[in-house]
Amino acid sequence: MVGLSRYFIAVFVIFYTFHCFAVFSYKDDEEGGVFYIFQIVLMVMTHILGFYVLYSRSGDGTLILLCVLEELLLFSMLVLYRLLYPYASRLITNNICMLLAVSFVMLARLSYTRAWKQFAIAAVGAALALLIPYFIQRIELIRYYYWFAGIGGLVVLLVMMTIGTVTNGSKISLTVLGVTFLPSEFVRVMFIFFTAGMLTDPRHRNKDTGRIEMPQLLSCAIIAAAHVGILAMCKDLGSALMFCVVFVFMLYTATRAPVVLIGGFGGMAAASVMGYKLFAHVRNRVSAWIDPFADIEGAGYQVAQSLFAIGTGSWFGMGLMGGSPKAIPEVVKDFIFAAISEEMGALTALCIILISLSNFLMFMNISMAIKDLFLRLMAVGLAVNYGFQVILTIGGVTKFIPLTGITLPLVSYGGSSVLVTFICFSLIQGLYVLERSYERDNEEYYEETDYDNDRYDYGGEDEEEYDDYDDEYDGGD
Amino acid sequence: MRKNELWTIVYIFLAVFLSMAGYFVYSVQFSAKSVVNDSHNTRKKDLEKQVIRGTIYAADGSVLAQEALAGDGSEVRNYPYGPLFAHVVGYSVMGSAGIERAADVDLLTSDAPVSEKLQKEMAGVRNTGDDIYTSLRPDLQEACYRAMGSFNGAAVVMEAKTGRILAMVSKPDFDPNTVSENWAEISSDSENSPLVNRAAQGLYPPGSIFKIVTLHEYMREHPSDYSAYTYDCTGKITVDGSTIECYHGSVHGHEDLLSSFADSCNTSFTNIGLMLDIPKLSDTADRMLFGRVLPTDLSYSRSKFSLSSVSDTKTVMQTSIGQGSTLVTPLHIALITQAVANRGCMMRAQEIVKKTNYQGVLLKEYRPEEYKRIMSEQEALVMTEYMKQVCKTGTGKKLAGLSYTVAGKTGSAEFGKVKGQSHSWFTGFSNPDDPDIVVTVIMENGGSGSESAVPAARYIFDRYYGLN
Repeated sequence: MVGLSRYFIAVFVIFYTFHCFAVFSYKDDEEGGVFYIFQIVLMVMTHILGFYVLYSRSGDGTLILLCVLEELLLFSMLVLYRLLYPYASRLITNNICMLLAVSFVMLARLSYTRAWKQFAIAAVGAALALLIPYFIQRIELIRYYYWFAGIGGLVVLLVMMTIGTVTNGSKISLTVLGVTFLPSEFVRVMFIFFTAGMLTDPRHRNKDTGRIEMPQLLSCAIIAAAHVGILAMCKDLGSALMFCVVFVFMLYTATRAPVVLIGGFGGMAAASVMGYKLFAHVRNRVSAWIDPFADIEGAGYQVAQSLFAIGTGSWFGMGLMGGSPKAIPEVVKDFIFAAISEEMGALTALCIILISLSNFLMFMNISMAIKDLFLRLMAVGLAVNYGFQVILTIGGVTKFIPLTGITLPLVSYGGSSVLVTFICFSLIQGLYVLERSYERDNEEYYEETDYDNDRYDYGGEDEEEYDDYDDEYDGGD
Repeated sequence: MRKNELWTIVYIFLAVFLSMAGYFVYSVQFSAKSVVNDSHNTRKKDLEKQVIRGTIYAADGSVLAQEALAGDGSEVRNYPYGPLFAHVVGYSVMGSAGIERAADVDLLTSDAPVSEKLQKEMAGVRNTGDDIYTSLRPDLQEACYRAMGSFNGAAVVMEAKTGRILAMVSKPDFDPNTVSENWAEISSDSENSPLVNRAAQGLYPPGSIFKIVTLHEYMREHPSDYSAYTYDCTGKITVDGSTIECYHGSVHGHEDLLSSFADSCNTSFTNIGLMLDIPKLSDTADRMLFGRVLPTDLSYSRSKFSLSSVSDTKTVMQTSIGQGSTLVTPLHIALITQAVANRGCMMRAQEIVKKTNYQGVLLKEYRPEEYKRIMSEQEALVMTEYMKQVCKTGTGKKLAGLSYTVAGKTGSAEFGKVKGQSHSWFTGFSNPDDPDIVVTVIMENGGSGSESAVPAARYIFDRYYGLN
């Protein structure tokens, strides 16, 4: 069993991933119900088998305790969410638990102490995740106080710039009361709230055309630029890029003007060239991306180690404890994807990419279902934030793009990363729950218009029906 | 409600995600092998824990490298031929070298039947890695080894039409069976550098061997009247204060192009070099892979060639007879010779013929592969005639009057400060009408080409034709 475990794990994960996409063809959650249960069974089997292999190869009995506690956590998360929020997306809840399960196994293999810490952080995150959808129903109370989020975020970043700690040449962490965290991760969520508020505030939209008033647009752009500027000064260019991308996509969604996308990406390309000229470590990253083996003892070391791990592991991996993932620097954080690929196999790693993609698609699916412009824009911001972070991390580790040094949401070790991801996921769940409760309030309307309550239909044929619904906001086309 | 903008975002991200996944799949399937083979990859030891390294076979089916049990029951890599194949087969420890390195991933990958693999994995027993069959011939390898005598240097034997390597010897050598025990000693011997595979990694001045390039360029620049070339050799030529002399003070007298080449007349070739269009000569050197990647999977050094329109007269004079800053590897010279023999088309230098699983089931066949045309068929045929003349009346005439015909070129590459010291070169191929094998030999400090390298080459040719 232990000898063949890598094949079993790959098969479990592949079946799990298959259902991540099959879900999109179901009429509703009830129809897919049995498959969600099936996913949970596969997730539990992956987790338990992983720990069984670790236990039988290391003989460490405390692993059993950790495994049981983690199972309890995943299980209570799944059950409580289902009970408290029956309207939440079950795919997202399952995916959170699946990514955590894979992360738990890999961290227990890589670093015992960190595995316990991650478990504790995940427990806090899960508690937050249970509360947030409840509180978000009160979001009406704060939706016009977005300026607090914008200015507040800037203040936090400024504090980080003055008293933050330097890691690998970038000023990215802040220690308060003995707890070290990465402020930029939290500030990004505040920034998404701020931008959504700014761009959808009906008080600052032209009454006739629905266009956003110029002063509002400009001040939003200035605050965004200030965030990016501070991060660039802290040399945290990965985060700066994340803010840029999130802002451009949110602005595009709000204005519906393709010129925003073209201009935004043009601007980012120009900024990248400038960054390349200004910062030596950007040049290092780029040369390590083009040929990591040219300077294998220096700039190319991390990426080369990662590629060795992925290549040696090949499709089915070396088996847990069979490889040398600890040779990769930062393996529990930025490079955990390479460690998964080395020991659990490239098939499992590929499934991690696809599970992340299904998360993104589900986020966007939810955005489309949301009719309130402010809530929708927040959902888009969170979706882009998540999707782009996955691309930056996995792309960097696999040499698809230059390395930026960003964590893989829910899989990488790290308090800030896990907590913020839990917050983002549960915000989206909350928005979805909120939207579905609006729907129930307006049940009569839907019956009149013969709305078939088809949440998962990607087909755009029903678009026109809703055209009159938000005409007042339809600007910038 | 219109959602076009959201669909645009979905499509953009979908495209990036799928290209990333595609790139990942591609790199795991296709580029991982060369990545894993990198000498900095310390993970091969992980593979060795799961797979018993496969066997390497010679062309006659004899074993070149295999896993065996030592007296104390531990597993060791066994090389039955000892030092004979030391460089080309290489070793699997201490960072690995040779075929052991080039085929590392293949040897450590098991393609045994799936049911057997799974059974063994379940039982926690290691699977057996795949086997590599090479084109190396122990008889020719032994002939090269003997022909080198006590000289340091290298010898390469290649099949003329396929580019397959039949023998590759580098001296001094070492015993791969004890390479890890003696590592400290042999790796620190910087005077002899026994670990360097001189055949592929040794950089030598080409000496008169380079006249093949100079001659080819002259013929290209004077396609209609090159045969009308004449020169009166007085033993030395002086231009702009620089002097080039013929080897050991010989005076060749009246020479045409053919006899200049056959006699390897330095002064005449200096004269030719000065007439050449230097940028074009540089292009030709580039086309013949000077300073370029060579088509081989063995570790090698790139040859060096640096001549440009700003080079001074002295450099041009020296370069045209293969002195100056030009440096080549014997394998590179063998490849150029192979291309001449093969009517201008260079083949990949292959030493691996096929890969099978440990039960002998064929997994992959490595067919001869054309790499690059470095000269036209007509140019190659004319070059062959000139090289035949070398072995008929010129510096290679010790190869004349045998049961087989050879077309070749000798070289005496001066090195160091002491005048008169030279490496002895020969490169050529047998049976020019339907070429059989290419032989390239260099013997360090062996004097002129005709003195040491030509007899050594003859010994190797004789063995190929079963004459000794």
